[in-house]
Amino acid sequence: MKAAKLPFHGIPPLPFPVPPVFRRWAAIIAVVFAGACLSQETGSLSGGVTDVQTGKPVPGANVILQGTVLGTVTDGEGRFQIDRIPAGEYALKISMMGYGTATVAELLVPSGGAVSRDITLSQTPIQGNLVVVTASKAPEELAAAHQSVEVLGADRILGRETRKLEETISTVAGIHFNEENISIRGSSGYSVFNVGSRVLLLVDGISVISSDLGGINWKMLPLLDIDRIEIVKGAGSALYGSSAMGGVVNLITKPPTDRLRIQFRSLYGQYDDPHYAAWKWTDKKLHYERADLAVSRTLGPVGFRLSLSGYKSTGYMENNTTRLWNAAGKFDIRFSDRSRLDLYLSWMDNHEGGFIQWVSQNEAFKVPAYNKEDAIEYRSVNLYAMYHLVLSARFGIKVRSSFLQTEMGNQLTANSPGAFSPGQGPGAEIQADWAPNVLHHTTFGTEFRWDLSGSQYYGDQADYTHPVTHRFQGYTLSPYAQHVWTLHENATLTAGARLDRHVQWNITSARNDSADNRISPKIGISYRPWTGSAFRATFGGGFRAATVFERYIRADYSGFNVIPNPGLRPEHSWFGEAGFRQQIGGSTHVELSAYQTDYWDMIEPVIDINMTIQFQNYVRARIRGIEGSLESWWWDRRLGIRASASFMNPLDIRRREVLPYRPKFFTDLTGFVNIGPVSLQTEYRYAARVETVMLNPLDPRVPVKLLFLRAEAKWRIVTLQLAVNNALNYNYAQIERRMGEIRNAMVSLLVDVK
Amino acid sequence: MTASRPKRRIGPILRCLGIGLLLLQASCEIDHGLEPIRSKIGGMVSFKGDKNPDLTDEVRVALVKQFPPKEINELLFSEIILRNEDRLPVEPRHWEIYVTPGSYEIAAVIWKANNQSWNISDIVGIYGGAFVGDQLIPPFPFKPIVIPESGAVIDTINIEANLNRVNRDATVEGRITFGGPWPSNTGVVAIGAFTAVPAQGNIIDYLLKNVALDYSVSTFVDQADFRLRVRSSDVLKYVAVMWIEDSYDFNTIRDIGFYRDPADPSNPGTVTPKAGATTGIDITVDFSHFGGGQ
Repeated sequence: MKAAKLPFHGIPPLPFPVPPVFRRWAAIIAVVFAGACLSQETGSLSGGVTDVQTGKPVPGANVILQGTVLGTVTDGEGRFQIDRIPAGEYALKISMMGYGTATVAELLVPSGGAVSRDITLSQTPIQGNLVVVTASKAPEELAAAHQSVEVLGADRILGRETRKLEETISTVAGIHFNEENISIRGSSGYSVFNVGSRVLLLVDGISVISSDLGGINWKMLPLLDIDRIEIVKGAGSALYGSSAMGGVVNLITKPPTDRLRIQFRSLYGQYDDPHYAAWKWTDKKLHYERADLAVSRTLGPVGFRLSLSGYKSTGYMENNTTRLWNAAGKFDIRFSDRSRLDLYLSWMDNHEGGFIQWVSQNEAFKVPAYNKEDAIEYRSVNLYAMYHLVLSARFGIKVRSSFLQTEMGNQLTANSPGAFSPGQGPGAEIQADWAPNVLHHTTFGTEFRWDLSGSQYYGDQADYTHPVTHRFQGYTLSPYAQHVWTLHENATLTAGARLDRHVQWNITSARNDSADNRISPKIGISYRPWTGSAFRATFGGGFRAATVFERYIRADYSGFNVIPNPGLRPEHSWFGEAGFRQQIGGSTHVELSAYQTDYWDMIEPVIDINMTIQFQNYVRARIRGIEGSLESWWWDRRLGIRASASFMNPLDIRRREVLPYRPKFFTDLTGFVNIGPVSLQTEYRYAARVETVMLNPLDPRVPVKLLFLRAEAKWRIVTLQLAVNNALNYNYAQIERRMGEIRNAMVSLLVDVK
Repeated sequence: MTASRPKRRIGPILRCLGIGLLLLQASCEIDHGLEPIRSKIGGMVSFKGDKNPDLTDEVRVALVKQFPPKEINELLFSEIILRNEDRLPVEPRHWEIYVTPGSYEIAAVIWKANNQSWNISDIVGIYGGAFVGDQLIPPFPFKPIVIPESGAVIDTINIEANLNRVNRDATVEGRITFGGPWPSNTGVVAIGAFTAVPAQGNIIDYLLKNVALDYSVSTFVDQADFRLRVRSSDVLKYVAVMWIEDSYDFNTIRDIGFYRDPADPSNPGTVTPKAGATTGIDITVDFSHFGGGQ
């Protein structure tokens, strides 16, 4: 039987030749999961979304038809249309960053008829009940999420810190950075080169964890490309597998716009002298500059967005220069209203001076002579193709393939260029969403990733003068499923699990090094007793497989001898969380969470008596904490405050001491004063002195106390920003013997033509 | 009425800004976090001995707040005061370490061998200590050095270093046989040699009164061969196996087995090394009755 003869007109024409076998299976799957809806009569829904204050259309708003897998985004005129909706009664949700969510309940779609609804959205300065996609790998309301989720919009990214993505993310409750190492709820301390991240970084839902280091590179995307950042706190392994044991950060890139949009941004900043004259190490003016350009529009069925950015800095310390280039392209090809192909490619080339440790605390901005030539070179290519196909109102699939290449240059010594082969991670995933009725939604699929890497620093050889490149490869095959059950109109239950089969072997010695199967379950509940209130509770497991770097690295680092540990096992955790969100009117939002995570076989670098460092399954840890955030606006949004605070007790149970590099308390407070087109911001960030460090425990340590002053003025298409970062010129070192950024002033100009 | 409205709105904003600026000004005078370290401890190191050992990589002075240190990285090192030079310097050499105020229990001169890690048992001189022949007698109680306040400078910590202690021309070799289950919290196992039997459980004796202590014995094996570099001029009254837990805290060091006198196995055997290798120094360790492990 040919698929074309099926009495089903829901499958749109595919954009590529499809083998008959696939078509047959697709038809069978569609029949099984689409169920009764095949024989139903359908109707359509259309409408427009406008801003209630300005009366202008709102392009880019999410339109979700609840109880189905159908949804769309408003076009450049703020219009939307959803066709072939099975006749029945639905609820329509419209959400957009910067606006409150609108709901149209009891929307009746008649058989063979067309319904039109025009909806108005009201601007709100606080984060509304947005539609998020990361916590469940499918669209859901923020208030219905069973886990703690935070959303940062593009305006907050660009308005807060226009050079470093991590600076913006660190304003979120429960998140702390040690340089580029992200720690969600104390999950991570510090690891050189960000090795073995316990937070998974996604770009549009696809992992960009490097194949060799298992690390995150925050510089891999042009900043103008990011539409929003969704952060899921607590283990996400039940859907995302290894590396997600501490949480998930999903960078969601901007979709192409219907009309031509050009964004150009340029900034220049200059560093002050160190606070103490004894630390001044050069008479040169130290500065940084950055330029970003993005062009976006849609031509016929093809939308595209192209971005280019460059960043150059002298750094504020000796051998601290940076030269960074980014380029990215995104293409959306719409074959029909239910069939779309997304293509994305990003490229990064980064060259940094290798400031590892200062000469001494009396020469805190200078490197020892033997480090003066060290450099860090890092290149990455990330590309993916993702095909979305809605087979019926109840069933849709996503198929994607991806490729990530990360390449380190002469990381460890200046005399070994090319010591690392590129880490390469081709991957594929098929995901299906099935909503058999308004009470149930199931997401299931299988993910596959192949990892290749190699280095002269890997293996057991001790002598670098005759290096041998040891190459490793491995794969992870991971089926997963999650079900969301609407128990009541105000309560949902979520349960799911993922199996990860992780295999790794040494190609050079033809040795099968490790094979491991892990199941990561999760169960959560969300209850919304009143408008604006949401309670949630979650319990689940997480894990992380040891990276090639952690198992096989052999190198000298900062006077320590790093040796391999091929016997490393995966680390795993159990976590529980209870939380509460409350929105008060349209101007105040409060969120509180309490959590506990227990870790077993935690992989941490350990220094032994011979001053050698080895990654070991040493730590049995328990981290308990509470965190809260508040955002409130008064006096017609002229005054506002945004605050977050986190208390935690990150305990190494075996040693009865605090886990290294985890502050027990940290907070971020921002005050806003808006006068017409001018916005003034004062931000204060504090992190308590860390009690335990790894390398130099006798060095003086201080809390982090940073003050940021910002002023922003908008006039038509132009935004001018002035900022003073670390305004008090406070001296701190998050990592021993490496000073944090000193006071610098910045001016930035953004031109947004649309 | 309409004209007066803007005044009322801007007034509180200006007041807020004023308060903010005052706070900012006040903060500027309060705390700038880390600062240069102004206090330091220093002195001279005079060298004695027949020659600079061929294996010398570097020699430094190290300070430790409390001995034994909990971890090896609790040592503060000076710059290098001696490298692999042809002969020992006749003139004393100056050393200094910038430190924060506090008490420092030990200042010691430590020798490091080529291609080896730092070994805190390769101490060739201690402030306040003495030598009987080439044997180091550490001061007891220790002579702590106190920096009372920031900016204080103590430059009178003179130390005598005897490099004959590490001029090792012989080896003792043997096999360690481990019986019973290994404690799961085993971190390091070492082989050590002493010219006098150390007091049982005395950590100072174990760490400072040995003539050699090598931390590289294989762990979680049934048998391990060892090769310990010693001096042929030393008569070794005690050759023992030491155990340290996986926290790598020196305070957990324990004596878990020793070379026994073949004629009277209840007593330690004496080893008189000859130039070159002395073999057959076999030791048995029984973990069956090991307390304190896991």
